[in-house]
Amino acid sequence: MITRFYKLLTVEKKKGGYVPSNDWYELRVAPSCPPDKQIHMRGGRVYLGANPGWVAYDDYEQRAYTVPPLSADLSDPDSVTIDVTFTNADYYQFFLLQLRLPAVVEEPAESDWSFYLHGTLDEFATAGEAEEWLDSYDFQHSSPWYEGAEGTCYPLCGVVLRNDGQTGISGAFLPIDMVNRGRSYIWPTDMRPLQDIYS
Amino acid sequence: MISVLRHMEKLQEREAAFVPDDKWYNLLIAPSCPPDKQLHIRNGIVNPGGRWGFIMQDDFIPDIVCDFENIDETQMALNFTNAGYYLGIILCYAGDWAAYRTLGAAYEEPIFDNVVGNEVATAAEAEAEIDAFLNGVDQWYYYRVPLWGVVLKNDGVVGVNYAILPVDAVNRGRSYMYRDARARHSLFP
Repeated sequence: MITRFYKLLTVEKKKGGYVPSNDWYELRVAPSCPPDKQIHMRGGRVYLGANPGWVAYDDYEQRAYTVPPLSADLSDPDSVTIDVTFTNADYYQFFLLQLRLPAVVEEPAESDWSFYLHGTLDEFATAGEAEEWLDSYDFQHSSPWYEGAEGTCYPLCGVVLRNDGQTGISGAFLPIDMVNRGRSYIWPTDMRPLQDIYS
Repeated sequence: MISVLRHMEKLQEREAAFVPDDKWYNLLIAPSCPPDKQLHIRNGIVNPGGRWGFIMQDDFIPDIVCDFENIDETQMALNFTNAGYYLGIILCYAGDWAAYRTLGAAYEEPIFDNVVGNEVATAAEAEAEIDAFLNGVDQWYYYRVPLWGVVLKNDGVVGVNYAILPVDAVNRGRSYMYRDARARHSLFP
């Protein structure tokens, strides 16, 4: 029995040298608990480029940032840049949630960071149709991160927003869940470019 | 007692199937033991290239030792003008070295193209400079593979090359590794 305990201890000691990868969690998103209209992003280090005017190669800006933990309020145009309004009750819209370059390029304060909800503002009767659009080549290639202009946006996740029954009102969608529970939800849950060709 | 032991053994057996994220270890840095003026960089894959049709490729970089006493490799003389002062740097592989070494060309040096701060009196000031570099200050992130923020401390001798104290993993009053600067979450590097 002593031998078995000793073996356990040896394995535990070996595990003590393991350094977990904290960068996996950086810039990861999660909904509120209980769900509301916000999505929360963990802080982390990110290297972003920007081509503010689609200018020549040499003018391309490249900077490193240490991003604080941030919350995107999808019902607030100041937070996510666009105004989410429905014209059809209970319909769905789809978006990509992206982190924008900060308003102040050098040592930005937390308030200088904002998000961008990239969508087409098309509305669909079913969540499946919205997901299909989110997954489409054409839509993903219409994203600012692909075009590069207007400041780089770092993709975080996809979002399917479901209208709460009120039309013509800003921010009239149901709370955001981690999975589809019949309300709004995050999908795909992780679009960070961890294995992308450019990193 | 036996049942507790069996339970713990079962837990360990289950954990044995866990595969750690090996990408985390790519280009991870460690000091020598005992500390000297070198840093040891693990092997890893980098993808030099990116924008606008620029060269794009995978490059397996082997284990590399950064010797701060070799100006040909580091492009840094480390010749201080103030005794006991600190210098904050971001250790980076040179873009040309990372990009061309796989093409078979004899592109040996310099291996490093570091982002170098100013000589400052305190470690906190040197750390603040590194923090600023990692928070939008200067467009230094061009054609480099960033690795680690390192604070180098002068050994008391001025006007002489490589006059730094050994590099520790943490601040023990000598030179030390300050913070991870590897580019994990990146667009268009």
